[in-house]
Amino acid sequence: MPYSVPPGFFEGITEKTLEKARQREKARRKHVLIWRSMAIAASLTVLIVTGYLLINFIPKGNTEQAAQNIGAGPQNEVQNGELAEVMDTLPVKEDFDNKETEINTVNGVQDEEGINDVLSSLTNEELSELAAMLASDTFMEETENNLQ
Amino acid sequence: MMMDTYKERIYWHIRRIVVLHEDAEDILQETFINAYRFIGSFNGKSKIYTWLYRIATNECIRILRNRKKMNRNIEELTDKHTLKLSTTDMESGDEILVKFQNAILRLPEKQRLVFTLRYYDDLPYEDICYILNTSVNALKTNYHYAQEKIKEHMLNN
Repeated sequence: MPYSVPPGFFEGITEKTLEKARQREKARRKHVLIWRSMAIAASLTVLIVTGYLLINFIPKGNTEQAAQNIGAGPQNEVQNGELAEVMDTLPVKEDFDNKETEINTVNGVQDEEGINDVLSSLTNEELSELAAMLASDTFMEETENNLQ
Repeated sequence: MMMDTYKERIYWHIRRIVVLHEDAEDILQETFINAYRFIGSFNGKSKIYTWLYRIATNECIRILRNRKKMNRNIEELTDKHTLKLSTTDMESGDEILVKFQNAILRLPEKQRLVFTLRYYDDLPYEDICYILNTSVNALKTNYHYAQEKIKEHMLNN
């Protein structure tokens, strides 16, 4: 072979290689440690900045509204349930119509009975005065026509 | 220890490819560091020395390609190595060997690797296939062309 090697090269190369491997492993660990520290620092910075932005830059009204919504959320659900029960017991339009008819009927009977009582309690003179008033009062006449 | 068993054999393989002792030393160290690092990936399908040859050869190819990028001109690079070989590493009476080595250095990368592994290391084609990740036929063709070129160089220079 036209090549030569320094004397004792093959005797020392194993030790040299092992030493190189150790140094490289040490450097690799150091590198990993630096990267981990940087990753942790970066994560913490992001957290702090995000927290700061959330606290200082979100409009106050929105925050309060959001807080109310969050706080009232479960209660609303309960209230909605209760409301549904209450709604079932509430009268619908038909009920109101029936009720109105009943009231009108009752009032009509009561009115007629009241007028009869009043008329029966009146004396003949008073009745004749009333009749005269009816004859002379134009407004009473209009009301009577309207009623008819 | 693996290194004690194979270091000389692997060193000479590397040295024949990269020529310079400093490069060969670096590549040898890299080869064994990588071998220890990736010993878990060695599946046992090949022999341990072919696996080491493969690591060493890949490292040599990497170094040679880096050199090519830096030197750009392959002729310039080969002449540099030839000069180095004939001035510093030549021992008395080795002129014919230097000429032979120069002829090998002038071969294209693939042919040079095949010729070195077959001629100097006397490896079977199957092992060379694994080391260079190529087919037997391609290896035989490359070896044949390499032989022809070396013969031509030896006769004409």
